[in-house]
This record gives sequence, structure tokens and C-alpha cells, in this order.
Amino acid sequence: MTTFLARRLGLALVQLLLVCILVFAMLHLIPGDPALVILGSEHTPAPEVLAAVRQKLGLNEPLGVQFASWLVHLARLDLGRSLMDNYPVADEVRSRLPRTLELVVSAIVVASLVGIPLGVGSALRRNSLADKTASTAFSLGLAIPTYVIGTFLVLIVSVELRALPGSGYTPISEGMMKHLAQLTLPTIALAIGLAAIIGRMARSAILDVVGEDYIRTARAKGLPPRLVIYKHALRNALLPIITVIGVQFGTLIGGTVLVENIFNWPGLSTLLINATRERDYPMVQGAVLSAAVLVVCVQMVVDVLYALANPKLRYS
Amino acid sequence: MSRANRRRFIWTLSYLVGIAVLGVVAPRISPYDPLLLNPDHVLAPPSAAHWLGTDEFGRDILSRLLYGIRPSLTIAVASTLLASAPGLYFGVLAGYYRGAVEQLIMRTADTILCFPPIILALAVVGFLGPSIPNLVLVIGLLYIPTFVRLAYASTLDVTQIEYITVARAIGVPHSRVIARHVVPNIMSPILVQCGVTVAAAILLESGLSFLGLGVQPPSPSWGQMIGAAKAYLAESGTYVLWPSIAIAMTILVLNQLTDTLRDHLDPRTRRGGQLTRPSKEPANGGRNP
Repeated sequence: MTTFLARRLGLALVQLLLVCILVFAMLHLIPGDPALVILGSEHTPAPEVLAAVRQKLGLNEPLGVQFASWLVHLARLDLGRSLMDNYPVADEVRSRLPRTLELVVSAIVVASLVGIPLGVGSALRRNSLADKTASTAFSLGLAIPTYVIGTFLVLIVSVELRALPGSGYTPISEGMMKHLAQLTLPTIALAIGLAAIIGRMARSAILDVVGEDYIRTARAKGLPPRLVIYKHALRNALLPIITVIGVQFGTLIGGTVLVENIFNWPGLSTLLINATRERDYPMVQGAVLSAAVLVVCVQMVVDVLYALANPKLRYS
Repeated sequence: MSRANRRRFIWTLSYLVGIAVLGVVAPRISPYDPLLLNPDHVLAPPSAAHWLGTDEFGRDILSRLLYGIRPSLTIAVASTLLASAPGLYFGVLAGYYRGAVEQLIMRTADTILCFPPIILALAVVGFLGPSIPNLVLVIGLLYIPTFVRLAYASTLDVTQIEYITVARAIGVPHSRVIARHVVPNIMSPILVQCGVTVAAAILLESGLSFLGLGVQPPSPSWGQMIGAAKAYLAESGTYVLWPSIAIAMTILVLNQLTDTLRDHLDPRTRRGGQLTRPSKEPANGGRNP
């Protein structure tokens, strides 16, 4: 297990370094003068402005020096300062990251609570009407884009029914109920697609294991059917479900871009969209980098969990 | 192909061909100019004159919907082509030669996959400027790693089969083994992935357009229409409905088509567990935006 952990951690570190290189290179890979790219090309900026941007971002230094100094700052968790208001990027990211994570985690919880029972239930009643209905629902859940779901939730729940607020954010300290009410719709919007994926995966995973010998043995020795499902079938079916949640984590972070925009949720993705519109390059860089670092870390955690659950993997 | 699969294949394919044809002949069949403003007739409900109603500038929604097919399909198909060829090339290279080449290619691919596509696309398109060629370029580049991974894994599978070992042993040059034996044998999963990627690219492009960073107004696209309709939900409930149905139907049909193709082409379901463990669901759950 130690070897596995060390190897997995090593891989994550390599990935983090590559992620940093890619985020750093992003600006330089776009053809043209980086300072011009940042300022936009609709109108030619004054030479002083160009020089100021170059100076501020250290674009006059050789590329190697720029990268080294960027990495050194990064190691101190310094992501530079906003071009708009000179506010430290790291502080902005730090205050917004928990809000995005809250959204993602609650979406995962909701999607699992909906998807797993639906998937297991439809596998156990294979080819019944309920199974076919669930399959259709899964296909629809996969086909309807997140932002369409979000828009319709706003239309139906908050515009027509006036049941829940359609946008905004209140810190927990200023009212728990209001916070949860505003969290509900974005969470549902983000969770539906994932619930469909989890449901499909749970269904096929259960169907995969119900034919196995140990299930037949458990049944043959007179174990109540419910116990067979919960103790034997579901436990083994959980592995692919955990994997799919891990794989989908990046997609969920991507999904927050649209969901946060619709519901005015002041998370990392709103920051990214606003910064992109304002061409605030350090802020964009910080947001993209933190999203990718998050994905790398989650993938590592999922792999470790997977190895804990499946001894065969630890030694391969 | 089983009978149910054949039927599904035919109807999904005809739907998609139909959509493409509608996009091509949009100028001939659209009842109105999609850019024609009509200030007296803003946000009108469906009527005989405007079958699907009008938008916030009084433009005909049906015409805009028809014209909107063009950017979505063009960007999706072009970026899929752009992603699949280099993806196939690098993936086969990594799987066939292994060693340092494999490490370099696969670690790079893994790294790009750490970035949620829409986030990277947003940042790059934001600075490059949102035009259709830029969208094709960015979306295409973003989906290369998925193809690399798939081509790599399939090549690893295929090179284990005896006849390839034999071909290599009797001294067939590498390029010939790859072109004649490896590539033809991994085309099925690549083809399925193309379908998955077209759907993902449509979702990505429409998402960016929804945010205002994709296809630029006044030229219509489905995502952008939904984004615009969002501001008028209280005034007109039907405006947002049409582009939403159009996009969801298209993605649904594309998903059905790729599922059918996967069922039919997958050697595991066809030849009965010859290669590896049968898996009924793709590892990513069938969605890859």
C-alpha cells in the first residue's frame, strides 16, 4: 500500500507541475504579443499602457525567468494581483473556492441519493415498466444541457411558482435557511446530469454482479433478498460508481461555470467569467489553475479510495 | 445488428441528416430573415405569422432556430475532425512504441484532461476572441486527449493479438503494421468516440454561446438564444422552450446513435468476451463535455 501511495502521490506531483506549466504557457501559446492579447485587439492601446502591462506582468524578462519567478510566487501561494483593482488573486480565489466546492459536493450527495436507488431499483426490476421509465429518465438527464435545466428551474420554480429564490447567495452566518434556499436550485441543476450517469452506472453494475456465484450462494444459504442486495451486490457495485463520480468531478466543476452564472452564485466560475470579460489575466490564470489543481487532487483521492476498497489494485 | 438496433440506427441517423439538411437549406425555407427586426412585434407568442413567436427584438424564432443549426453543427463536426486525427496519431504512437514516447504523450494528455474543458475554452476564447474558427480550434484541441487515451488503450489491446506479434516477428515494417493491422482494428471505438465528441462539442459550444462567449450576436445559435431568452422568462415562457427542445432532442438522438453504434461495433458484445471484461457503460458514463 505504501508503494502504491508513494507512486500515486508522485504522479499527482508530476501532474501538478505540468498543470502549472500549461497554465503559465497559456498566454504565450496564443499567437501575438501577450500584452496585446491581454489588452484586446479591437483598439490599439497607447504605448504607455502596453509598457505598463508588460512591466506589471514581468513580460520583459526572458521566458525562463518569468516562469521561475511565477513558480516561486506560486509556492508561497501568491498568484499575483488583479489588473482591475490590484486585489490579490489568491485571496479572491480563497474566498470563492469554498462556495464552488459547496455546490459541487451537495450536487454529488443529491445525485448519489437519487441515482443509486433508482439504478439499483431498475436493475432489480429489469425490463419492467419502472425500469424502462427510469432508463428514459436517465437518457433525458444526459441529453438536457445543465444550463437548460437551470433556466427551466428558474422559470418554473422561482418565476411561476415563486417557491424558491432564483438567484443570489447569502453567507451561512447571515441566515442558514436563506442560504439553503438559495443553494437548492443550483444544486438540483448541477445534480440532474450526474444523477443520470450514476443511475445508469448503478444499474449496469448491479446487473453485472447479480449473475456472480457469491450472490447465488448468498441466496442459496437463505439470506433475505434485501440483505443480499445491500451487503453483497451493492457493496461490489459501489466501486464503478465511485469511479464514475471521480471521473465526473471535472465535468461538475465545468458545470458550475453555467450554473453559477444562471443563479448568480459568487463562486470560482463566476470569478472566471467576470475576469475573462474584463481581460483580467492574472485572475483568469488563478481561477483556471485552482480548478485544475482541484481536479488533480480529487482524482488522487478517488484512486486511493479505490485502492482501499479493492486490494487487487494495490499490488499491481 | 439486432432488429431493435437497426430501427434505432435508422431513425436516429435520419433525424440527424434531417437536421443537417434543414441547416443547409435554411435560407430557402426560413419564413423570415433571421436578423430582421420588428419593434412592433416583440416577444410575441406563437401565431400563424410567426409559428414559434418572436424574440426580444421581434425577430422570427423559427427562422433563427433554423439558421442556428449552422454554427452548432459546423463547429461540432469540424472540431471533432480536428480532434480525432491527431488524437488517433499520438495515441497509436504511444501504444505501439511504448517507452519514453508513451510517457511523454500520455502524461501530456492526462494533464490537459485535468482541465474542465469549458473552463479552458472560456479562458482561451475570451482572450483569442470568440469567432467560429477560434471556437473550432479551441474545442478541437481540447478533445484531442480523449482520442489519444482511447487510441492508446485500444492499440495496447490490439498489439497483444497474435497476428500482430507475428507480423512484427517476420519483419513487417512498423509503419505497415500500424497502417494495415493496428489502425483498422481500432477504428470502431474511435468512430463511437467521434459521435460522443460531436455531442460534447455541441454542448460546449452552446454553453459558451449561452454565456455570450461563443457565437456572437446578431447571428443566431441555439445556446445564445437560450441565453437571451433567460432574461425574458417572466414575459415569454415559450421563447426559451424552442431552442431548449431543439438542443436537447439533438443531443438525445446523438447519444442514442452512439449507444447503438457502440452496441453493434464493440467486439466484446459482438464476439462474446474475447478481449477484456465486458463493460456495459463507458468509464466516463457516456458523457464527456
